Formats: sequence, C-alpha cells, structure tokens
Amino acid sequence: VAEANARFDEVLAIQASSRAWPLLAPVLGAALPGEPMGVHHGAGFLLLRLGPQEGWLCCAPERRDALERVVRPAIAQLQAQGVAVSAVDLGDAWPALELGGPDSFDWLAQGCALDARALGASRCARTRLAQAPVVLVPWPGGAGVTVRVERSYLDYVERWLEQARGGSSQMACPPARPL
Amino acid sequence: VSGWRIAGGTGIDASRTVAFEFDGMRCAAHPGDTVASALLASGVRIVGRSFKYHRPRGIVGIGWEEPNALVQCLHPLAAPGVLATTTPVVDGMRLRSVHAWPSARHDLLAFLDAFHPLLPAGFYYKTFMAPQGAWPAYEKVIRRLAGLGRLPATRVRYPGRRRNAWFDVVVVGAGGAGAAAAARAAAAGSTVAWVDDGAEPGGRLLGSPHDPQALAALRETARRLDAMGTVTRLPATHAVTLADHGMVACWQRGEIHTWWRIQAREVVLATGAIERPLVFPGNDRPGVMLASAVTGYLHRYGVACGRRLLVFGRGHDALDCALRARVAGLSVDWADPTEPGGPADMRDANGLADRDGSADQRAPHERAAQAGVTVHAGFTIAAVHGRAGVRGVDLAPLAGGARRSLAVDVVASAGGRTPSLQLFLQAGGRTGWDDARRCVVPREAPAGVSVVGAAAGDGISAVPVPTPWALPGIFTGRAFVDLANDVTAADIALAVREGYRSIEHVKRYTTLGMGVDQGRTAGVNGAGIVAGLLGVPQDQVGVTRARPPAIPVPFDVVAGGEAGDLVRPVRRTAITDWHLAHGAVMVESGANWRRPAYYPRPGETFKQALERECRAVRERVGLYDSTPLGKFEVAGPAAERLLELAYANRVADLAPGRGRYGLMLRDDGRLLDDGVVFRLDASRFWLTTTSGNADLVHGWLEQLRQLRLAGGDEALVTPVGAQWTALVACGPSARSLLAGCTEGVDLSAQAFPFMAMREARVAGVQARIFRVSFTGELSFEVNLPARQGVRVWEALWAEGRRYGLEAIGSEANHVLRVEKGFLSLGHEVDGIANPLDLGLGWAVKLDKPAFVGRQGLMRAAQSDDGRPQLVGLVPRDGGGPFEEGAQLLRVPEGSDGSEARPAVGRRSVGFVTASVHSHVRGHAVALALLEDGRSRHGESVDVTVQAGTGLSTRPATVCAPFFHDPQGKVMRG
Repeated sequence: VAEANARFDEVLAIQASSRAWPLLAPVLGAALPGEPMGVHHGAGFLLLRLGPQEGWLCCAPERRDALERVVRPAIAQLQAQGVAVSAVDLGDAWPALELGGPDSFDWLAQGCALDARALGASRCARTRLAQAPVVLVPWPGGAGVTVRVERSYLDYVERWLEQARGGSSQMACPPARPL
Repeated sequence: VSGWRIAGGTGIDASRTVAFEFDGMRCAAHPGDTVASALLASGVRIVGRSFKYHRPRGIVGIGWEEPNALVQCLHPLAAPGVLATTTPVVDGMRLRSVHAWPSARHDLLAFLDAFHPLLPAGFYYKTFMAPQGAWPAYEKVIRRLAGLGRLPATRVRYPGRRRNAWFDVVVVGAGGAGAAAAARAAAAGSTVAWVDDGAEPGGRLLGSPHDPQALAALRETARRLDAMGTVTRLPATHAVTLADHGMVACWQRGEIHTWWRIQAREVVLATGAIERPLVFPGNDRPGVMLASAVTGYLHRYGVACGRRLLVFGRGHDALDCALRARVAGLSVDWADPTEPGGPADMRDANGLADRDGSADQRAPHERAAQAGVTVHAGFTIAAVHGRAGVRGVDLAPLAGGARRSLAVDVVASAGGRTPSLQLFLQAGGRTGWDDARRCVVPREAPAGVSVVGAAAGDGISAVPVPTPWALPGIFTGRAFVDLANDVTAADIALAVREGYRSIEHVKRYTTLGMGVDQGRTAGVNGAGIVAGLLGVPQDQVGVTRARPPAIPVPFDVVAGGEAGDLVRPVRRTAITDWHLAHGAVMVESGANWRRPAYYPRPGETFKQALERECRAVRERVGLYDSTPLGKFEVAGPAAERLLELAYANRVADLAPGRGRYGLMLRDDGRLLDDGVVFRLDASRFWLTTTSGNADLVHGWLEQLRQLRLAGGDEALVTPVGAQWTALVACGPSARSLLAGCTEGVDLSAQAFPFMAMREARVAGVQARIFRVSFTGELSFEVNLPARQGVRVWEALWAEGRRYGLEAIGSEANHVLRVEKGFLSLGHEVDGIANPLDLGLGWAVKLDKPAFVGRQGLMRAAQSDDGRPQLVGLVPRDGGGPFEEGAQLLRVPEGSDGSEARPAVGRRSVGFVTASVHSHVRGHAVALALLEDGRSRHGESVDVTVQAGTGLSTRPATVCAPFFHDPQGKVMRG
C-alpha cells in the first residue's frame, strides 16, 4: 500500500443537473462518460462519473491550478446563465491508496462485496471496503486499483488492509465476468 | 488403539496415531478421525448429559444431524459447543463433556431425571409464573443447571479471514448429485463454486460400502473439474446461510478459518438427506444410533460401535447396516417392525436393485438371513435395558404374543430418510409432505435456487415402517423425539391436549427442534406425531421454518479478521493524534467517531478536569475539535427551494454571509436533526448537521431533492464533512485569541456579528469562520482544509498560552450546553419530541407555505394537552446531578414536596434528559421532558433514584430550561 503521493490526489467534485452535464464537455475538451460509474482519462486529469449528477475531477497537485483556471471560470459562466452546476474542492476529503500487484483484487475481495475486477478499466464504483465508504478506480492496465477513502476512515482502512495482507494469495478465484 | 477399531476405515490413515484427551482420559486416534469416531474407537459411550433431565447421552449420528455429542474443547482452541461428529480430531486435543459435573459418567445432577414426571412440557411457563417477582431467584438456580458448556475465561481467537467471491453457479454438496450439477454447470461454461462439507468429495457415498463404482466415478469427475480452472472446489466448507439473490455464506475450516460470502446467479442445493430415527421407549440410551451412522463408522473410520448389534427398522439403511456389520464380524439381529404380509413384503420397497446394479431381487430379510443375521419380522422394541449404555432390548411382536429378550450393546435405528432442506427453507422455499416417499420434499423454490438429488427426494423410497405415533408404547414409556432438548412423545401429546395445533406453536411450547441441531432428527417425527394425534394428513402439519445459521458457527469465524481493534471503524479527525498526545480520554460518540471526552492532567480526577475545562470556557477561552459535525454545500438554482422545504426555519431571506439555526423535521412534525444554515453566495449554502446524523441527513436531502421537490434536479448537494477540520474557540477571550492568528477579517462584533460567516486566513491557511455557539459563550468556529487542520490547531494552541487556553472535551461541552438549555441528539432530541415541545417554536415558521413536517406539527399543536415539554430542574436536596433517564413523578396532594418518597405505583409524567453539575450556578441542574412542563415552572416533582434494588425519589423544582445567560447576550457579544 502506498498513499498516493503523486498522480491524482486532488479532487474537484462537479455536480450538475442532467441538462448541464453535456454543457461541460467542451470545457473539459473531451467526450464525457455518459453513464454513471464511467471513467474518463483526460489530458492530465481523470473524471470519475460517480452518479447521474456527480463527477469527480481528479488531478495531480501540480496540475490543480491549471485545471482550476480552465474549469472554474467556465462553471461560473454556466452558473451565470442559470445552469445548475457547481464545483466543490474535495482534495482534502478522499485520500487515495494504491493497491498494486497480482493479488490486489483478491486482497480487496476480503472486505468488499463488489468485485473490483468486474469493473474493467473504464468504470469506477462507490462502495464499502470492510465498514468504510470508498471509491474504487481500477488502474488502466488492470494491474491494480486506486482506493479513495473518506479521510476520517483512512487509519481504519490502512489497519484493515494490513490485517488482510497475505490472506489473499491462497484464496484466488477464477476471473469474474463483467457486472 | 482399543479393541473397538476394526480393519479397514476408508477415511483414516491407520498408519499414524494422534493422541487426545477426553474428561482427563488419554485416548488415541488416527488422522482423518472426527472427535466422535475417535471417542467411539476409544470405547467412550457417554459423551454428555441431556439438557433437562441430565440423562446419559451417547453419539447418535455421524454429521450435522447429531443431537447429543456437543463437547467442550479446552485445547487447541478453547470453545464450548463443539460438535463431535463434524470436528476433526487433532493431536494434543483436550476435550471435556458438558452439562455434567464432575463428569459425564458420574453426574451429580442425574437425580433430576427421577423428577421427570414433575417436569413436563411447558414446565417453566407453569411453574415460574408465581409468585410475582420471584423469577430472579429462580433464574440464578436455573442458569446454574442449564447450558451446554462454558465460555472460556479468556478471549480465544479463531485465526480467520473473510472472503467475498462471485460465481455464475454455486453448488452446495459434493455427493453424487452435487458432482453431477457442478459438472453440468462447468460444461455449460459457467464459473462454479463447489461447496464440499467434507475433506474430499463423495458425500454420503464415503460412508457407504455399497457403491464403490459410483464413488470412483465421482472422484474422477472431481479431478476433472479441479483441472478445469473454472470450478473452485471448497473442501471442509459448510454452507451456513442462503439469502436472497444467490448469496451463500460458508465456513471453511483450516489453519485459518475462512468466512466465504459467495454471490452467484444460480444456487444448486445438493445437500442430501439424513436418516430419520425411530421413536421407541428408551431410545435415548447411549448406544442407540442411526443405522447410517453405525455403517459409516464401520466403513469410513473402521470403528465398531458395539459387538452385538440390533438393527431396528427397514429400508436401504437397515439392510446396509446389517450386511456391513456382518462383514465386520459383529453379531447382528434385525427387528423389522413392519407387519408380516404388509407392505414390507413388497420387494421394490427396499430399492437396493437400482442402487448397486446387482439386480439382487431377493427379499431383504432373505439376504440378511443368508449373511448370518437373525431376523425378527414384525417385532418392535418394547424396552431398552442399561442406564449407562444399551445392554439389551425386549422385542415385542406387533401382532401380540411372546416377547423376546436380546443381549445387544448397540441399536441401529432406520426409519427412512429426510431431505436436508435447511438452506432451502432459509431462503423462503416451500416444502410439502410426499406421501409416496414418506418424506418432506421441496415444492416451490425461491428464484435462482434449485434442489437436486436426495435433497429433492430423489432415490428416497418409502420405508414402510409404522409412522412414529403408531409404534406402541411411545406415549407411556419415555420415548424421545428431540434428544437435544429432551422432548418426549408424551410432551408433544400433552401440548396437543392443551390445545396447541400449529407445529410452530408446539415447537415453542415443547422446545421441539429448538436445539443446536435445529431438530434435524426431531422435526419430521414431531410433526408426524402431531399429525397422528390430530388425525390430519402430515402435509397439513408441515414443518417448522429453518433459520440461519444452518449449523452452529463461532462468531469469530463470521468476524474473520475484523475482530478486536477492527470490529468497528474508529473515525479520526486531523487533530486526533494531538488529542492522544495531550492525554485525552477518548469516547465513542456516534457514527463511529471517537473524540476526546476530557483531558486530565497528571493526578487530576474526572471531576477536577471537567471543572477546569468548563471554567476556562466561561472565564477565559477553550478550544474544541468539532470536526465530526456533518457539513454540506448545497448549490444550484433550486438550492434555496430545497432548503426551504427541508428546514422549518426561513432560509430565503438570508443575506450572503449570514446564517440561522435550522430544524429539520420528519413528516410527522417530530425533530429529525438540528444545525445551522449559512448563505455563502447567491446560490450556494453551507449547512451543518449533528455528528451522528450526517449520513442520514445526506440521504434525506437526496430523497427530498429527487422525489419531492419539483425541479430538484437543479439542487446540487455535496457532502463536504471530510474536507474540513472544524475548531471552535469559545469563551470571553476567543476574539483576542483569534485576532492574534488571523489576517484579512475584522473580528469586531459590529463587523462580524453573531450568526455571520467570513472567509479569512488563520495561521496562514484560508479558512471559513462562523460565529455560532453551542456553549453560550462568544465563539468562532474555524473551518480549514483537513490537511492543514492540525497546523492551525497548534498555532492557536501556542497563541492561547497568553489567554489561559484549555482544550475542551465533549464532557465539558455537554455541561456547558445543558447550562444553556441547548439541545442534543439522543438526549432531548429523542425521535418523539417536536420543536414546540422543546420550546423551539421561534425556529418554526408556520406561515411558510410548505416545509416537511408542517402538517404533522400543526396536528400535534392542536392536541397540546399533556405533551412532554422541555423544562429545567434543580434538586431541592442540594445533592448531585440526577440520573439521565430518571422518571419524573408528580408530588402527592398535600405534600410540600421536600422529602424523599417511595416511587412504586406512581405514574411517570416525564424523564430527565440530561443532568450535570453547573459550575456557574454552584449546584446540580437538569433538563427534562415533563407533561405540560411549561405551565409547571415553580412546582415540585419527584425524580426517581435507584436505591438498592428498588426506587426512591429526590425532590426537584421545575424551572425554565436555562441556567446561564438566558438572553444570550454573552454569545452575541
């Protein structure tokens, strides 16, 4: 386990009505994932579509200012037009843990009722690991998974992962099918 | 190894020996033995005493159907209630019999059996009803007499893990039907979890000598499936629950126990069938066993359960047992209680021809006789001799005539088979009685569940033994139906005579089927007896519903690794490490938070620390970590409308940077939660909730937005509790303290009034500062990005030295809010009180056209009389605080209300919600909910107080619920 020091530690929570989501596509310069649970890999950022209204824009700390310079004014402009859209900083709220290696999914399966492998590389999920709220984002290559944890549960999740370490290799299951 | 071990034993490694101990006796066993087979091999007949009568009891079965053989394990894992028939014996194991003292052989409580006529069904209900209030005395004695084993004195951990797994198909059972189902599913391309109760596949075939080819074929299938990669066979794994949507929870034994939670699209139950014993007088003597168990112990473990065997009953299991015992060299008699010339003479009733393929069409009696078995056709057991174990039986001809006495030491009872449908019933499956096969069979399966093999009744042929109630003597002799709970046929007859008709009621009255074995051997016989006595078909009586768990499972196994520190999450704030480093005593405080209760200095008592912290806030300044409060940002064109709907107070007229106390009500007008709401800018709001209700309020706001607010799509709710660390500086010096660390804001009362919000830099960090107060003092709540939280806390702490700053725990916070009459969730906000009861009418705008709870509240307001209302209490005896939850009793007419009085027989008119010692007042104070309390200020009430085992009262004066700064000038200052 390594607390993600690098890539996508910053989170800007975007909320938008169903009407407003398509209007955000030109702002981010990309086709947005239309379906909830979709993951979009943009230029230096990641968009996690966590619900019909909700998406998290994740980026590295050094990219944050540049991204905000693009996103904030565009959102303000939309708001001025009466569009229901908001951006709230959650960079301190959901620290990320990176689980890598061949056993990482079996490791996770000891405490997660959702099969993270079944997500594939293009989907994410809000779920629970043991008794903590988490957001799971599989790595693009399938070699691991990012676990974002509500900050107050971080210590608990780290201790849980520690006790579950090593209990996964002898319990591997055949690959699951997509959800 | 003793003389009970014979050659053979397909399931053990006879070349190696392990040693174990039972009731202090050293015994030997082989790897592969269960505790039961090892005890039988060691000649142990009595493994424990019965639940109610302390009768000697021996091993009856060979699997989960076993009703008697629960033992206490002392080593390697100290545990009560270990089932001997399913627990592998390990080297060095130490076991003790249960429910017996000093030992199972010589139990001093065995005298209870002599009183059995005084202990009928419903004995407890009839006997311990009177005299009223005497139950605690009875209970002490009964608790000593009852119970199956003792909890170990120290905590014992099963090393365990949990595991979620996802498959297309889960097959439960590894007998012939299970193997076929797993093979079928695998061939169709499905991923399969194959749950195998045993260490190796085979199921019932492992215990039967007659199907070697079938077992070989099954093993070949298992090898093939193991090699496929899509079939995961889980050996030594017991399915415990079957829930909706194909969720099967299993316990896998091993060095590390695994609690599997398997989700599958399809569940196939191949759980087999267990043998049903016959009910006859004396059938609980050690040595009376199931025929399939006697066969299984011979075949799998090479253990003879006796030297002289009487097989009693009919069918496959009877004949198998007789023949296998002859092969092992035992002397065998067979009493067949079917009528001569009756259905017993039908050859197909035996069914052997289609099982072993030998097409042996000889009548079973003839086959047995040729193998050297003495057959007693048409005889039943009239009596069993031998208290500590079977020494002989008396056989009586059903047609009447001379009895026969046999000297036997084991009786194998064969009454047909019962499909194992515990999991099927748990999942809501419906069963029925199949008269042709004389067993319970599945009728309607839940979605996604199917039943195959013997569990579905396949291969079960009717065993035409007389139905249980038709065997003579079962109501006059002591014939046990449920061995686990000592329920006799006479007990069931008594229940029916007393008017019980439903099998569920008979079960609860007699405890039939309520033992650890869940009535596996008792259920069908009990239902049959009820049906016979009522004269109705057995199908009409049905069976009792099985509930999870299907087998006893240690809690530790279910917890997996999530025990000890991990049994529940402990949520931390950015300041938690600082609290711990400064000696805080931490307490649980709802929603998994643990927060500082108080910060004792070395040598300081709780009271001293509490007073120091309270005085600091009232006289100087305190610093409190209020991070756990729920926080939300609500934005969008519909944000204001959403909050107007959610709050009873007005929101629309808030100017940017201003806030208000807000109440959220439920539809019935009762208080759901309280907090503050601030307008950040034209279309953005900030709201807080109580710490324990953050998730609840989030769900509630989403529900209102999505389902009840027109255009709610345009209200955007973002929970931000985890983003912010919240620190409260409170007390007369709070402004000076903050001023020393803050840039970019004028903190004066004119520029930054009460219930206003400002953005500023505190200790160099961008913060949102709110002027709110929960202590009644001048307060600033500073919200900071969580990663910066502790830095700012430390900066304020350093600055605070000049002002005599103290860190404040939740205990001081509680005292200070009680002095102010502020509400707290779980105290005054009890889910019943509405805002009018709590004196919060000012925060409810009934002139608003619509908000949640308006209708309910108006209805409640119209029936005002007798509602509980928030009041203050002051003790008249000068004593300490009242107990929280203490009842309020009206003072009798003509009394001056100053003395203590007994409490019994007086009606309660309210209760104490919180009581503390107030340092500003110098005496104890309390908040309470009292009927019509607002009109009773100045009156006296009696407050109950525990006095020994009874209740006394203390007198108190009712007053307004404010003890400090009632006008709120201080906090607004």
